[in-house]
Amino acid sequence: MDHSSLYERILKAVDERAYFTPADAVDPAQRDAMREIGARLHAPDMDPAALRPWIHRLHAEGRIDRVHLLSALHVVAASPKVADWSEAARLAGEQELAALELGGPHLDANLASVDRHRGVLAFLRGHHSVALDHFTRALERQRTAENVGNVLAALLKLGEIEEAEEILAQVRRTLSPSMVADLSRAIDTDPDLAALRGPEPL
Amino acid sequence: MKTMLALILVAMGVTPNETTSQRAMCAFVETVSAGQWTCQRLAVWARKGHDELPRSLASKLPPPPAEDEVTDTDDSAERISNGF
Repeated sequence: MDHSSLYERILKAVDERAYFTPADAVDPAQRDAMREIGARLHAPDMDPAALRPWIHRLHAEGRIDRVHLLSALHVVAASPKVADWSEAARLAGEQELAALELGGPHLDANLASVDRHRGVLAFLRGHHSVALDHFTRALERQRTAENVGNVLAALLKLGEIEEAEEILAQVRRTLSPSMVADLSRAIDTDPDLAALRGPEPL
Repeated sequence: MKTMLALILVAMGVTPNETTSQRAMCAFVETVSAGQWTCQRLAVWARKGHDELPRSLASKLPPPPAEDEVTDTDDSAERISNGF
């Protein structure tokens, strides 16, 4: 029995489900559009060649600004199905410039998005300490459960379990209850964070 | 990792060219994905036993391989959040 093609299909399916693209922290005015992009990205029949023009159309219609246009294109490029690392890196750089030019009240959140994207690229390429630097910067700019989770995932990849536990304890004291609940859910379901599961609830 | 997947596939009667087996394979992938069973978690399961596996799937599986049989985890999925 030749299992190689089956392995590839199964692993590909699992890989695609391991890549999360939440839009919870996005500016509310653009959140619905970004969620639609996320949904289309994760559709089984996703075609990047069709998805990209559709994202550009959302931008042309004014539903997303240029920062989010570039963010969405990066997320597509870095997705397991596409895995175009150089394009993903280029788009993150372009997104940073767009965020700086846009400025305004969402500057920190927009730059946190860039940091997160760069961290994910480093993480997916196996450079976990570099990823940790980017994820930490993202967390400094924007305190969300997603950013905490990425920091913890990078620390655990580096074998820094004690430090991860210390951060978790700090999170219990400082993050809002809803964010703590979000993080708790991530730890309960994410195998990369399994080492942080304990008898005590967050 | 691949050893374990092979055991699972064989146990479920999956072969590449049969429609019923393709359905079985898809059902397996759906179960793995819906339950967030990434490759890492499957590897952990392979090492620790399958107590955590959904009963519907666990009943179809052979015993997990011995620890020294599970050595290839390089193909594990990287689970990461790349929010917009």
